[in-house]
Amino acid sequence: MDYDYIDRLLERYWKCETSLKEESELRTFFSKSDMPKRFLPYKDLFVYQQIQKTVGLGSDFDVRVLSKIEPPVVKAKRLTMFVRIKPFLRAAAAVALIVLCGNITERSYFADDKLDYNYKDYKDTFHDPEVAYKKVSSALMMLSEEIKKSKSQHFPDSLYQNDLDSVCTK
Amino acid sequence: MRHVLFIYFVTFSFLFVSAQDFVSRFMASHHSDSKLTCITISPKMMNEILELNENVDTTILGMISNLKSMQMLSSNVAAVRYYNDALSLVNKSVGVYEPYFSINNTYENGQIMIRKRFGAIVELIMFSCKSRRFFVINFTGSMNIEFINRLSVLLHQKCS
Repeated sequence: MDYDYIDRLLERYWKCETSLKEESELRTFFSKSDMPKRFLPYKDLFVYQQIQKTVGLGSDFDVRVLSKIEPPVVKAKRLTMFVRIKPFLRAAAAVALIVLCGNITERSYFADDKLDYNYKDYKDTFHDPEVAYKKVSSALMMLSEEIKKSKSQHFPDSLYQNDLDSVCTK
Repeated sequence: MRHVLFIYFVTFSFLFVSAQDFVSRFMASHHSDSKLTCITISPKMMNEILELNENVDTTILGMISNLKSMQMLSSNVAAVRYYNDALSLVNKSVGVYEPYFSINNTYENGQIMIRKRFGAIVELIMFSCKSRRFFVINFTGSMNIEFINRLSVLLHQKCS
């Protein structure tokens, strides 16, 4: 083996002056196991290049890449009317449940007392019950008169009203 | 947890809200109006009235026993404006008051309305605009149709 020739080729290789054929010769030389020690440091480089020539993308490369970049195929699903309005039904059921709970609680809370007024802010205008009695009774009379008038307006021909009027005008 | 708290709050929210009678609500928007005169008879005074023995009509006293409070509002000016305010307040309170009787003629406009709760009449309101005078009578208590029927013949009984 002409090791001087290999030395010259190496020198030219480092200067990037070798042809493709000469580089192929170098790789063939370094693929052998038997060589002088001074060439061993360069062996890995040329073996690496030899190995990398055989490394490719593989037959499944296209499939793998396309599966990553293509959008997933979504199959159309037929939605029934029930499925469509299901969220609204759920919301309505929740509201109904709350209203029902509130109503039941309220009824049980005010079971004995139907009045829900806050009388704390009431300040009596009169401090004498007799004066207050007169005011309440006059208010009741006014209300009675208004109801009577209203009834006579709605039922002008009723005998009841004629009877009332005749009694009141006596 | 938040959902449970929300449901709990909504369920018991009625406890924090007390109702106001019609006159109180009307006065809330007219509280600085000096042209309106308001008379209030509280539940405490109603109880004192029921304890009266002399110079009282037993029929009227019987009717008062159904009542818890009374508020009366009157004004001798701007009657039509106040009447319209009262009407709009009723219209705003959707589902609260039911019309019971109404009077509409050349001389007078009036409405009698009730508020029902659990089947009982808890509020009886009359507001009227008559001869340039506006007035509201507002009773609260535990009333029923029979009470109103008795009330309608009260004047008849007194006249006779």
